[in-house]
Amino acid sequence: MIRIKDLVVDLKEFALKNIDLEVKEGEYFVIIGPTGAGKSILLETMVGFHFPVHGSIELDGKNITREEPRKREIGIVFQDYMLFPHLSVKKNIEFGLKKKKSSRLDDITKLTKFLEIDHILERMPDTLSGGESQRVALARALINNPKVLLLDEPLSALDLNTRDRIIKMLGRIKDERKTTIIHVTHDQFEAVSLADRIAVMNKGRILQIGAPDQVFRRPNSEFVANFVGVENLFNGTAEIDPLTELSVIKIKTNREPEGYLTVLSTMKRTGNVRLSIRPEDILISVTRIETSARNIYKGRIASITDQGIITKVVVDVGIPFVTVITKRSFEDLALKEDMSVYITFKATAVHIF
Amino acid sequence: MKKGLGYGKRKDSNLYRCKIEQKTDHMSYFKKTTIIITFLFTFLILAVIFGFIFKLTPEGFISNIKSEEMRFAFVLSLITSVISTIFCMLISTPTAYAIARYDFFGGRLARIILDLPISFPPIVAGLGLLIIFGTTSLGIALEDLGLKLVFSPAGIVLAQFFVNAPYTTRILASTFSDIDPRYELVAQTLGKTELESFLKVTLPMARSGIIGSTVITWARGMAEFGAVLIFAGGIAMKTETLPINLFLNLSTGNIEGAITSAVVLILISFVTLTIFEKFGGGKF
Repeated sequence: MIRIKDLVVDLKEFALKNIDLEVKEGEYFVIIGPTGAGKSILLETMVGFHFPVHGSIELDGKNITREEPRKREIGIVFQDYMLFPHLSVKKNIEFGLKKKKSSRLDDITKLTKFLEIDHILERMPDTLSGGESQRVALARALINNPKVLLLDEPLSALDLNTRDRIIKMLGRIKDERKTTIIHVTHDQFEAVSLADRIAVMNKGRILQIGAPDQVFRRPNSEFVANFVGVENLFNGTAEIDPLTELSVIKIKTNREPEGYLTVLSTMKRTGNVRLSIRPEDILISVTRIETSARNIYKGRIASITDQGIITKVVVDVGIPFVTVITKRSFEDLALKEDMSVYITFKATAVHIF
Repeated sequence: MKKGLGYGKRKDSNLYRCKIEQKTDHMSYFKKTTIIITFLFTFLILAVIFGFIFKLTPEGFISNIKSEEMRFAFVLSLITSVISTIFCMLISTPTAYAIARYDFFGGRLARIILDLPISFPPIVAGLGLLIIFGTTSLGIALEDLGLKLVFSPAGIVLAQFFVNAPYTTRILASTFSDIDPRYELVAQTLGKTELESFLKVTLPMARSGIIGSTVITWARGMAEFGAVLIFAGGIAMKTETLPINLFLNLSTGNIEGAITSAVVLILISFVTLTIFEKFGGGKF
């Protein structure tokens, strides 16, 4: 679909170095990296805002490296939306339409209903909330059915609830409209929630490309490990307990006799899910402690790693859980490898994707 | 294509709006002094304006306004300033866009040179024009083509253009620099050409700056004296614009006539300033 070969972009103050990338048709591809990694510049190069000094960009086998932006059939949505302030929402969305045929007007109706913005078509952009502006920008980019949709930090400026809604909407755009999407972010959770594949980027280079599991579980460098380092990432099947209204997630383990570990979460999901628990949200104790936390497991310490002020302790409860404690607590508890301990975490600490 | 380098950067207009809130009634000497100076300064300007009004009788004003020479000067100023404003906008808009948006060879030097005439005394600009369009082969060639510039109304237009266009360019460049180039990029990803994206996105977004600069360019054209006098000659009833009418009246001892032109020029300035402020001209 889109293939980037050995791309070098030099903007004096910043450079992209030897980018190689291939995104497949219908794929949701996330580029993740810290601020200043060059993610936005890569997107801007794909739409034709910057010209590379070396390398090529191909779309469906056609070389578009030096093509004008208007002929590339690539849409872009910026973090700050870039809605034309002098045009109404409707005019913004229609902006890219060549001829306003009635079939196209149907498209607008369908698209704006789909994005839940059909009630704000007459408003001006400066009266919209962040989430509304984001959806208008999406509609504007999608109206021409671009081959690829580029999203530059589309969720960073939004509050948590709105983010969740837009994440679901983006998933539906991919599933229902079959749009190929390249999404840039600095947030691991966005990446895990949406990505078919992930590329990790830093200082103008791509460090690793792969499925989320692969990148998160087997980072190929220290930078990737530290940056995307989602520890305690598990796959399981979830159902909702009608009594407690909590999600009950079963994670396969080699632990006898059940063969699975049950984890409770306040985030409601069903079916096959991916979940993670931050190491700092897990308590470690020598004896079982009475607490309101719903997830308590007994296991043994598999490994201890001194990391300066904190100590990383891996506890095997059938599956390995990574926990971190301060050096002081580590010494107070007198933890040793192979020792039997309890780990405890709240149902609210279990993040489901 | 690259972001502008902040050519003609907007000066912080809030500078004047960030007032220090004094919580007590006590006024420091510092504060008192600055306020007294402000009043004295304002008073000086008011005194000059009222000076005209006290010196001028309504009958004198009306008879001078009705004089053929005054009407000629007014109409000539109006026509030349409108034409020079059109030329200024036509040349300054693409120039301002290029220096605000693109990095190109010689761009930095062009910026400095384009700013030069702003700090020239207009009389110097007039002399410069006289030298290159006077008895040079360029001037003679143009005259053979039927375009006589020196000591002619066409020369008035050129003098006004030369003095004002750099200023217009500066205002427009500042306006364009303030518009994120990604707006145009989005327009282009939506199938528009560069020209279409400029016309449909940047130009409407620059509306205030364009109206403001048009009005100020026109007003400066109406009021241009030095360059016009030197280059177009200040010939009565031929190249006599309003400021030159004032000057000629004064040199022939017609004080009332001079004051009448002055009052008309002040009224024009007042109207212009009001329109300019309305379109956010305070920025520049």
